[in-house]
Amino acid sequence: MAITVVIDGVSRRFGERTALRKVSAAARPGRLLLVTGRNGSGKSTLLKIAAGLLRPSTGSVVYRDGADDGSPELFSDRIGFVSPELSLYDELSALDNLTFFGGLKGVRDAALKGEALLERVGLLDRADDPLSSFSSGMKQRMKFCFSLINDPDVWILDEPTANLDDAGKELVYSLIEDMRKKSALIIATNEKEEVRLGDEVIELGR
Amino acid sequence: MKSSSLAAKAFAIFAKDLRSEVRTRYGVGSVALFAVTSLVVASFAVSPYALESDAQSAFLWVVLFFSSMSGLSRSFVKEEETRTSLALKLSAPPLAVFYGKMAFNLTLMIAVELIVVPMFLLFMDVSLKSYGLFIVAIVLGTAYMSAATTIVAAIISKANSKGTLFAVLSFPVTMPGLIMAVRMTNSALAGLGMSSSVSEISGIIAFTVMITVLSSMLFEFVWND
Repeated sequence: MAITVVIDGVSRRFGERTALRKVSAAARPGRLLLVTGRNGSGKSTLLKIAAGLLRPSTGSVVYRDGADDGSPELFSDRIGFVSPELSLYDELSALDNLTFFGGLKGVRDAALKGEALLERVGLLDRADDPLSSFSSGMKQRMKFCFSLINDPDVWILDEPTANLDDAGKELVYSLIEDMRKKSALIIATNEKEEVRLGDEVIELGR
Repeated sequence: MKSSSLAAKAFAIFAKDLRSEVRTRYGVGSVALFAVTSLVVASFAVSPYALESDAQSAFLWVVLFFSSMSGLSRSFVKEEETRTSLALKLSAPPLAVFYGKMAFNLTLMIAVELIVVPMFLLFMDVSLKSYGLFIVAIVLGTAYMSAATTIVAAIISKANSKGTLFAVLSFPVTMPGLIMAVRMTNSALAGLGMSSSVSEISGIIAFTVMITVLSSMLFEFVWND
């Protein structure tokens, strides 16, 4: 069953500072909700709240899956998340990372799934190399593998093409096209090319 | 398609930490270095024959306490410093993380004790008279220290001055169990039987269970902060 993410009047304060003020939006299956806005406008904060990594100060995020409604934490096995703040284990190989995280997310045959994803992002020949030997662009590709290991129903991407060359960007756009057929997508970006991809666009900090 | 229990996830995190440790040897290296150095220096400075069993047992646990302070916080601090905690938060429930890290800390302490305890017995010229009680003291003391320091490590991993805070916050939390472990070790070195330490044994087990339960209730708030 596909999931709809409903963001209702979400605000977030860090001490005295308000990072996000009363944002409402919905990410529906097969649709891309695009979040844009200047630096510091709260894009990353909103995405973390949508993924259940931060609690809103006021408002709520509800995942709707048919009759089952719940907080993001209850649907964590069905979320994929990519962010500049996210890192994988440098001392482990690419495949070990994906097998580990796939196992935690309850994916059977996580190693096979990991190999398929590494092939998709062009890193299969580096499967047994530790991530410490990877460039920043290769690590960014690994983040996509991490986010897709559980076939997510909600895919949340923060600055998805950061550190990627043109070929890497094309790869990300093709992954987005594949995923938007079945999942709800939320992407935060200021790249003009990516803003055009959005079915709905919300601009923060205006 | 998807199935895995809390225990399986905790074991996966434990196994990952163990694999990382085998590759980097950071935790066991820093803990063992402190333990061995302090043991060797003290054994040269103080004649082992000058120490009574109460001083010897206190000395053993001082070495184990401070050496664990130098390494046990790493399991959480490393996740924060290398920014891998976000991926872990997205993939595993907090309880699985807590029990996985606690199991790793326990294993790390056991590995260090396998080096330190034989050295202590050798350098301090200890003739053990009550093996059973000595082993019980070490096992229960280790379990208590691991349980108590895991939650403190999670708390301090969010702070700036991590090293200092870890020792300061761990001190009051570990003290009750440490005192009972010292008493049990003293009884074992003095040749008293298991029956002499029944209250300490039941006390340290109760404290270990209590701190594990309280920590697992508190952990989710610390981890998701």
